[in-house]
This record gives sequence, C-alpha cells and structure tokens, in this order.
Amino acid sequence: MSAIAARARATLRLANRRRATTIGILILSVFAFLAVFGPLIAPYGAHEQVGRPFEPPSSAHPFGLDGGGVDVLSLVILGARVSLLVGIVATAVSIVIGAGVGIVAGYFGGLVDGVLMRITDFFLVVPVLPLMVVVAAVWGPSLFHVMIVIGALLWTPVARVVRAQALAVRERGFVRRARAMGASSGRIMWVHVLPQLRGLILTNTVLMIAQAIMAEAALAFLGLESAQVVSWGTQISHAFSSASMSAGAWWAIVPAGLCIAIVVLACNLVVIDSGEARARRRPLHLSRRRPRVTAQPKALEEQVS
Amino acid sequence: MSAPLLAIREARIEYPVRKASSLRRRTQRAVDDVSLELGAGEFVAIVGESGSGKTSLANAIFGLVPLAAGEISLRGERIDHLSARRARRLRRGAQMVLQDPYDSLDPTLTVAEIVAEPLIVYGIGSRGDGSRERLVDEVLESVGLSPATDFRDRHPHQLSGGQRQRVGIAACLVVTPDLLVADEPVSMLDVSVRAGILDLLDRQRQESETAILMITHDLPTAAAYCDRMVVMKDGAVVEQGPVAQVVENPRDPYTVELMRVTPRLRQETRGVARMP
Amino acid sequence: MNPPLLEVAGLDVFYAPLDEEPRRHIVRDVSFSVSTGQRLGLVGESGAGKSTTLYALLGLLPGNAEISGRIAFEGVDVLAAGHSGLVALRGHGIALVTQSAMNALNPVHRIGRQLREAMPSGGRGRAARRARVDELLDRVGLPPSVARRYPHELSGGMRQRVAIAIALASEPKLLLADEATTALDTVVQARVVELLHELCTELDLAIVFASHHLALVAQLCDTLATMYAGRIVELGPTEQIRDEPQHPYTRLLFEATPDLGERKEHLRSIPGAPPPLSDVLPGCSFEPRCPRAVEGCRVRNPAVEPASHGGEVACLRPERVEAHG
Repeated sequence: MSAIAARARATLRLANRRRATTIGILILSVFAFLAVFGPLIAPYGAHEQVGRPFEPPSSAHPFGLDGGGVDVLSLVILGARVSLLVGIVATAVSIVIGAGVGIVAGYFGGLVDGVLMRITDFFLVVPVLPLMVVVAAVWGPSLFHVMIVIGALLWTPVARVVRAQALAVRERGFVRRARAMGASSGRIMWVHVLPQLRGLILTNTVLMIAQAIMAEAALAFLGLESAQVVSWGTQISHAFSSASMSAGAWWAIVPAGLCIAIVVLACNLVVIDSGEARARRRPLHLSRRRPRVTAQPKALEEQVS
Repeated sequence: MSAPLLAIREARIEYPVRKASSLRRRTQRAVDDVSLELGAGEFVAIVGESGSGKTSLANAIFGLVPLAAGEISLRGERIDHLSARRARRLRRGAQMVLQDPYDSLDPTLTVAEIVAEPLIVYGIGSRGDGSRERLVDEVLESVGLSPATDFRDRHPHQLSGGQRQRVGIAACLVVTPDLLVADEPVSMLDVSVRAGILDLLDRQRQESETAILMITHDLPTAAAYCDRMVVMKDGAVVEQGPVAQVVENPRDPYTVELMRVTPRLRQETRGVARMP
Repeated sequence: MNPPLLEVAGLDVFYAPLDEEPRRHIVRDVSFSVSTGQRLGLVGESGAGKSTTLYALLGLLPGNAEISGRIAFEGVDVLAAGHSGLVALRGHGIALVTQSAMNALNPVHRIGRQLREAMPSGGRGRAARRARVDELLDRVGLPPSVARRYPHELSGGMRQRVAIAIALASEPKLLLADEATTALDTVVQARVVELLHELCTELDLAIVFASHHLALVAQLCDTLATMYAGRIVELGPTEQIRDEPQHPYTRLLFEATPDLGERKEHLRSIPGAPPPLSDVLPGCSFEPRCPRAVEGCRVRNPAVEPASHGGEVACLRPERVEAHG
C-alpha cells in the first residue's frame, strides 16, 4: 500500500514541477471526455431545432442557438468528437510515416537518405488547400478524405527533425557496437535508435494534433468537408454561410473557435516543459546569478572528540 | 607457429576528402598498406596518436568501414566485404570493447538486456527456458559485477565508469569470442580503476586463450600489458615487435621520439630537468 | 624564500541545490600557497576538486556556487571584495589556460587580434602592440606569420600554444592550467610542457598545473599536491613525495600509474569509489578504501600535519617506510 502511496506522491511532485504540462493534460482530458461521452452529455441533438434561429444565450441555452435553431452548446460538445478524432487519426498516420522516413533516412544515410529526403521535399511543397480542393472535386467532400489529405501532408517536418536526431544517434557508441556485432539494421533501429527518439516523437505528436485540428477546421470552413459532419470546423463554416455575423449572432461562431484555440493551447502547454525546451534555457553560468562569496576565514574545524 | 587467428594483409582504408578549392575528388588514406597478425592468446597493442589510423583499422575488422584494398581474415576466412548475414556468422568470434563508458551502453536498456543482446543477435540460447539468463549471470559474475542479481536490473546511469566498462566487456565475453578488440578501453577511466579492467582482459587471455588487440595512445599502459607492440603513424605501421624490444630498442625515428618524450615517473627524464 | 604570491587558506566551495540535487561540498578546507616561480602540481582523479579549486580563484564558478575562506594574492585579501574581487584578478596577475582553450579561440578573428585583445589596455601604441604580438608568439615557439592566421588554419598543438600566448599577454605572475595538455598528442604534449617549464624559468612565472596525469605533473612541477574528495591530502616537493609518499592514497596513485617499461604485475588498482560529495564525512574520506585505515580514521578527519618530506600530509597513519622503487 505504501509503495503505491509513494508513487502517487512522486507523481504529484512531478506534476507540480511541470505545471504547464499538467494543466495541458488536464484540459485535453476534459475534451477527451467530451469526445467520448459527448452524445450522453449534450442536452440536445445536433440537428434538433429547439427554438428560433439565432436566439441569444439564455439560461436554457448557455451558448444560444445557431442559424438553424440548434443548441450551440450541444453542437460544441458533439463536435469535439470529430475534431479530436481527425486530430488523432491524421496525426497517427503522419507520425508513423514521418518518424519512419526520418529514422530510415537518418540511419542509412547515403542514397537511401537522398531519395527519402527528395520525396519529403516533394510532399513539403504540395499545398494542402489546393490538393484538398482537387480531392473534393474528384471524389466529393468527405471527412475521410480530409483525414487522409491532412495525414499525407503533415508528416514532412517530423521526418526532417527525426532524421537529424537519428543521424546523431547513429554515431553513439552503443549503436556502433551493435553494428560491429552484426545486428540487423531493423533491430538496431527498433531497439537502439527509436527509444532515443521517443521524447522527440512524442513532442511532435502532440503539436501535430493541434495542427491537424486546425487544418480540419480550415478545410471544413472552405466547405471541403461533408456538411453532415458535426465538427467545430463545420460549425464555423455553417455560421458563416448562414450569415450569422450580419445577424450579430457571435455565439454561433465563437464557442467552436474558442474550443479549437483552447485545445491548441493545451497541446502547446503540454510540450512547453519538455526536456528539449528546458535544455534550451540559459545555462547557469551565463545567467546573472553570481556565486556567493564569504570572506571570513573559516573557523577551525571542530575536532570530534 | 599455429595459423594466425587474425590476419590483416596490406589493408588500405580511404576517406573521400572534398576540398573547396580543387575539383578532383581526393581521397585521404587513413590506413596505408598495413599488415598485422595475431595468434590465439596473444596480447597485442596498437599504439598511435589520433589520426594514426588505429581506430579505422579496428572499425574495418568489424566491417564498419570498407577496405579499399587488402584483406582481413579471421581463422583463415575472409571477413572483409561480406554480406550482412555471412558477416554475422563469421565475425562472431570477434567482439569489440569501446572507449567511452558513458556512451557505449544503451541507456534505455538494463544491464541484463545489454549483455544478452549478442545472444539474441547470434541466436544463442532460447528465450523461454532461462538459458540466456544463466549465461548473463555467469558472465556478470566473471567480470566482477557480483552478485549478478544486484546488477542485472540496473541501468547504465546507475553505474560508475569502471562498472560500465565491465558491462561492456561482459557483453563481449558472453559469446566466448576468440578475439577481443579493445579500443581505448581505459582511457576515460580514472587511473585507480584501470588496472582492474585490464587485468580482466588479461585474465580472459590466460584462461581462455582469447587474443586481445588493444588500441591506445597510452604508451606506458600498453607496454605494461602487451606481448607485442605495433606503432602506427599516419596510417602506416612504423614499427612492430616484442614489447621489450620496441620500448628499449626502437629503430624507427618516430618510435624513438615517442619513447623519449613519454613522461616517466621514476627515471630522470631527458630534456626536462626539474628545478630544485 | 620568496613571500607567497598566492595564499589560499580554508577554501570551501559548495554548490547550492538545483532541482532535486542535494547540496554538494566540492572543495573542502583547501589550503596551499604558491611563490613566485614555483610550479605546483594539483593531482587527483575525476571529482577530486582540482578544476573547481582553480576556477574558484578567478570567480569562474556557476551562479549556484558558494565560496568561503581566504584567498590572498600578493598579500591582498581578494575575497573581501566578494565575487568582484575574484573577477578583478582575471587578466591582472592571474591567467588561465583550460583543456579546451584551443577550441575557444574566436574563429572569425585572426590570431594577432586575439592576442592584442588580451593585452592590458592603455600605455601602448599600435606599433608597440604589434611588436608585443610577435614577441608573445616567439615566446611560445610560433613564427610571427601565425598572427595573420585564423584558428582553423592551425593544428591543435599550435592553437594550444596560442592559448598560452593569450594567457601571457596579460603579463600574469601566476598561470593556472587546467588539464592544459590533455587533449594533445604525446609528442606535442611534451613540447608544450617543455614550453611551460621554460616560461616559468625565464619569466619567473608561477604555475598551478592541475591534471590527472601523474607522470606529466611529476615531470613539470617542483611541488606536488594530491587531492581526494575535495581535500588536499598531501603536499610537498615532487621528488620527495615520489620517493616516499606519505599518504596511502598518494602511494596507491603512484602504484596505479604505469611507468614506461613497468609490467602489469606491478600495477595496482584501488577498489571502491570516491564518496559522493553530498555526504558529510565525519572521518577521513579515503578511509573506506584505505589499506592502512584503523578505527580512529572513521571518527575524525585527520588534520594537516608536517610530513617527513618537508611538506604536509593529512593522515592519521602516514607511511614512513620507503615506497618500492
């Protein structure tokens, strides 16, 4: 029992030292909860008309109603699911591709590196929106297409960053020893190189989730996502297309936008305290803190009798 | 004389050097026509400064750098220019001990995992029946990390430099190699722990006839342990022979100079007289 | 004898805790003095406190350091002015050469400029300064053409000599060298050590040479001090200490260092490891590993007493027999 208590205490201490990360995680947990249990929590349905269009916020509807008379609070809660889903799925695809390409390019170097990096450069310059427009035009707008497009284009910066680190890890002594032993490249990359990149990949994953959510919002806003989908992006899109601004109904837009902003902020808070960020802080000898100097000659050491 | 365990013949290693000023692709010879032999149970030290090519030579034995010319053979079979799979089979008899105890062990693995890795790579023992665990514990004890149960679950950062080197050696000995190549095995350790580590290598040599090839710039340490000494400069072997001969009667001018300038503890050094 | 140039008495250096680290006592009650022209060698293994001692003298320790004791340079108590007192010593009587000094040269400035930068300000015209640059380069055995070069055009040995020349440019009376030759090849190292020896003789320059390389220090320095776990455990004339080391650690250190031509059978190692410096050690810090330890060694930290070789030793049971040759 006390071992568990000790672990709990240690975790709390850690949480206190990394306050930004803790706050970020807490915020994201709230939204994750909304995403999972949304349909059970939302007071009304996403297509349920419960009043007149653009009714202002009231005690019955804290966020008011949108252009279709739907409860905005419910929309926001239900939208969390899709927005976060896109964020996570697109990120998962991106990270696997990006980290994979990065590690292989960094470890093998030479021709493999060259080819992979040229491919990466290619994807780097493809513009997201025009591609999405083309996809939507050819295959019709859909949530699935959005996820694929975002996933297919977001991985390039990760590949570069991971590659740079992988190049460094390759020169480490234990990697050299594994190679000297004749271990297979696959084994070395999986057992020795990847674990060194864990922190980097994790940090990039969290940041990428934020980017993916924003990308989804952008694409939805442009009408490239199916209108049936309930996400924060489509809400903002609806709000604009139903002229809520000219109707003065700011409550149709702001809540969804605010949710996106808070989630992005939370993601950034989580990584702000990461090891890399800390490492970049000013080393002590360059800070303005000076050593403490006491001039009086030391008293003779007490002889322990 | 038995057939040599390790035979290096006219090995040449080159690195491309690109100078901004010239258009031609020039190469730099890190190792220039080096020949060297090592028999079972011999302790040979390759001594040289940085840039002498000694580390490149060690890397070549393990296929980490390609040979531009020449050949390297282990127990009569060539081990240069091999495919990965054949290399693994043939090079198993040779293992490498690295210099930097703070970099040569994977920090995410435990001691047991590190020492067991060669067993996994070479397919020795099997996972379920505890045979690997037993081998690991045995070898940990033999390198002085005793009791093994104390050490097997620790991570490298929980060990001292000397202990880490022992783990590195254990990871080599676990597959009972015929040849141990030690690249500056004690240079980064405090002087008070060096003899302990080197004695470990020497004991392995005496008990199992393992050949030791030690690469170092530390002349007195090399001279204390080796049977034969090879002096390298700028990629070439300038002198080799029994250690007593190389140290006391060097023939090559570079070797002569090296012996002369090496600081002595007890004899009055030539050249720098001490002030009263 | 000359009056002491540098006097250090009861120097203590603590590192205040950072993050989760405990408070560490890195330098413990260190006392020594250096006279004009004297060559003092500070020998010890990693963590002994040699570098910290040197850096403390010039106030080069990080912000979480706490320094106390007495440091007097040319008779003046330096610590009385606090940290700025130590800073004032830089380039004004004391100069420092570190292990990586050759890598600390400004890559976009020519050597000549970096030398001029280190000279005391005022008093000299341009021509005089350039002449001084040539003089300094000549002193360290480099041709005047080096002044026009950039650091990357020089070899490691040459760059380290430049670092020494820069140290000399401020006309110091005392040179602190922290592993100044460790990164150099054996042959180059020997030349640089010869150079240091020459400088001490010709310029009456005092030097404190810290290194873990015992043979090298023994060759260059006339006085030797061994450090262990933050304390000086023995101090005295090099030759005498070499022939009859009094402190068990000093003796073991000599026995662990191979002399060229000595075989492995004569080499010893010291089991165990130095104590963590966060501990308060009531007794002798070497006691757990000492072959001559007795009960009393655990109780009190041995005071520094005069040794038979004319120096001093901090040991309850110093060795009085001849060390084996």
